[in-house]
Amino acid sequence: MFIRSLQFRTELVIYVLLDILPFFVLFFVWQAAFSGKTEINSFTLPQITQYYFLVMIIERVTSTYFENWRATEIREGKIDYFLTRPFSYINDVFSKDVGGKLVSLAISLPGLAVAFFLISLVLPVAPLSVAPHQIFIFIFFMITGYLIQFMIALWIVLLTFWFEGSSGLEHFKWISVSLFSGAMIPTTFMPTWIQSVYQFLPLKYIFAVPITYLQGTLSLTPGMFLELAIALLCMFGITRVFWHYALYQYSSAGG
Amino acid sequence: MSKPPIISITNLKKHFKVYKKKPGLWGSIQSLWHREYEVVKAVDGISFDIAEGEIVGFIGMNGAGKTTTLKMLSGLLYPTEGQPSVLGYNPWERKASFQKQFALVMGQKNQLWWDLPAVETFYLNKAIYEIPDEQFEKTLKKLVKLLDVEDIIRIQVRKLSLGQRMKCELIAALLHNPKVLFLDEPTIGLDVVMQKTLRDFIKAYNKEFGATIILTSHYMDDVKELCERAIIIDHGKKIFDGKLQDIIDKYARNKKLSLVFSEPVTKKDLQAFGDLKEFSDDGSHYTATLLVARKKATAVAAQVLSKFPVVDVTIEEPPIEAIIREVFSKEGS
Amino acid sequence: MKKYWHLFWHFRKVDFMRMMEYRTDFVFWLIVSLMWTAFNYFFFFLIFGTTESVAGWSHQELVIVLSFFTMIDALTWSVFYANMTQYTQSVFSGELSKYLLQPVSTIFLLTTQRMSYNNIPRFLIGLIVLVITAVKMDISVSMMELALIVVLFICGAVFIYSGWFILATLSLWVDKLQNINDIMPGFRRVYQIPRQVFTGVTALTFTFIFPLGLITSLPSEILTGKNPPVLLILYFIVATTCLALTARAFFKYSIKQYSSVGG
Repeated sequence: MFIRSLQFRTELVIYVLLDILPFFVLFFVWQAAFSGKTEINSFTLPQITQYYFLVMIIERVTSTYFENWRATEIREGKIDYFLTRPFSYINDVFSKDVGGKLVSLAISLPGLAVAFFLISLVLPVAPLSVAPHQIFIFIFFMITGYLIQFMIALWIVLLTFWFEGSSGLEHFKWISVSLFSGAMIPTTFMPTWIQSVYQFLPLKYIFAVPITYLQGTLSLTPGMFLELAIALLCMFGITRVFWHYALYQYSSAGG
Repeated sequence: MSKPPIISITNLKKHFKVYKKKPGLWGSIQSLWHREYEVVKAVDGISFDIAEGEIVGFIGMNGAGKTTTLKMLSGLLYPTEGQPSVLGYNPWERKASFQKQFALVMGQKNQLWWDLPAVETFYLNKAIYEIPDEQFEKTLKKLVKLLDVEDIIRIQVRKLSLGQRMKCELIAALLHNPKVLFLDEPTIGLDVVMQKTLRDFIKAYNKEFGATIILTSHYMDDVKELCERAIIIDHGKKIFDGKLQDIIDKYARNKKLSLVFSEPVTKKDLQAFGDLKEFSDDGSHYTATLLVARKKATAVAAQVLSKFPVVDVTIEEPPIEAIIREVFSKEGS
Repeated sequence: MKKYWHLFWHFRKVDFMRMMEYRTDFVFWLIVSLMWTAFNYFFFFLIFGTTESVAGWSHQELVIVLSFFTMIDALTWSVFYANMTQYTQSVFSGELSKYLLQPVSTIFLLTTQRMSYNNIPRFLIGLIVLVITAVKMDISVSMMELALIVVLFICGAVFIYSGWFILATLSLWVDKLQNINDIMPGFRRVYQIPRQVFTGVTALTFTFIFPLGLITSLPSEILTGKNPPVLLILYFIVATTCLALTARAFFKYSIKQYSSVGG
């Protein structure tokens, strides 16, 4: 697993570059939008740049890419191996993803840090003045953000047990997450109807909440943590039930 | 009398650079800045001429260079040295007029579109090879009849069995009436019945259309049934080129008799009949293997059966590998 | 020539049959592509909604740029992506030999073999929005200008495709690169917006070094009467031609170095 990740060194470089490019382009778009103004919706240009930079980092850490090939694996019946062992398939998906992610992060995060430094020389990015405990909380949110994304991705993969053509459902996930998590644009820019959907879904904890917290525009309340905890538990419960029925479906359909 | 050979190669060579990576994590890291490579001489100086209408068999073990040679003759690989000539063309130039006159069929690869009926690939090939309507219909009909695939050509290829797929692959390859046919392991993975069907078909095709055929195979039977002439290739070099019968007569001198006895027998008694290769007597099982000269094999078997308490006897050809080993050991010494 | 025309439509027929075979797939991807189109328009609507004009482009003019983008993007996903993925896959699996054996230009086969109809609705939407907006803005163009717009649009498509083709041909050199086909699409953002949005070095880069910024801007500028410099137009056409020729030459050279897998 580690070896494979190293062989992907060029691919990682490409991924990092592809990550930075949209961020770069987006900056110019915002710069043009800001012409003649110093503030839009209580954001200054450097703050917006900083916002998107943080989006980029969270994206790197929390995104999942296994939906497609795992779904194919199931469709081709290759998971029989797992079902006969005491090691759960889900655990395998999880541990492989986390493992791969840690390696790729170990390589790409330093790269991103360098990029951040270089970018801040060229573009106006608000400097991040944060206390260490804030960084810990930020990391905490990234971990929970990853768990949320992971579980949704898992649901998509599990749908393969019922639907043949389940590949491509991740597009719905991407769009939903973009729209309702603050990844696309800060919440304050969204029309009110979307903002009300925000309140319901735990997706905001992936991007909007940690970023605005770090930027100092949001103060965290215990209620939020409670909400997040409940959301995670519910999602976990759904996953268990889902998996149970998926197995049932798999064996009754003859594998 | 001499018509120029259809296929001609002189001192053909193909050397590959293969990168070596040390195993493990450290090896991967090392490969970031330094890669070792070695030169693999897949084909190292092969020469031969093939006349029109011949069916020639390439025999050799895995990695001997058979497929590589075929690929160079097809224009897929650029030779390191040597200039092949097929139908008067340089295959590497891949001229359309050349490509319309030959076909390459590889047993493990498919030409057919996976999720559509085979017949769709046939029509596609018709467009690609610019086969006139009448000729196409005629050839298709003939081939379909010869291979008896009328009912399966309209079924999606992915739903066909390996044997059926192979038949359709052959048809797809032959629709444009190639003058030269390269068959690379066409019967691999097929059951015995299907192998025979394909062999009969190839023979019939050669007779009917006069195509020149090069066939590579692991199966001695393929080569035996189809090819008068055989070329043995080992480690990129041509070891033998001549009539197949000569090889068999010369090197496949022996047949193997595997015997199972109901009572113990003595080694000495057996050795009177042939070269005793194996002998086993563990108190309850008595077996032996005798190597007997080909021509005498049946006669000896009859004698052994009458003289000894034989429970089971099997008469086998030595496998092609054994024959080749014999050939090589002869060349070596 | 007739043969290639004939073959092209034969492939389209086969694509259609395949689409019918996987009907639900088609409907599904139709929905997905429409979703992304809406998403794109929505995103820029949100940003541009905060200001009157962006880099000298009014809202409606920006919609025109976005519509050109939608049309090119539709081509990217239905034509280029399908082909290039097939291309790189066939290289890694050794199936490329199949194309090399056939008496038809390999580049032609690789380009036209597989196209997806999934994004045709997306293309149509882009076109319709374009036309509607142009009508709303009371735009009138001469035949010459219209012809130029079409030429530049095609140029843009050829430019993207040639760049992609060169990248995909790299797969003939490297052992295995998973995301080689994600590079070109990654650059789409650059031409989602008019070139005037970029300033400084970046503007120079995306106008001259990698003239991606011109792909949607030039036709839009002509359509909206912004009269881009003729030199720039010529430059773009020349650059595209050079890139296309390079792609072809690179391909021929790479094939020579290529050795099929499993020899």
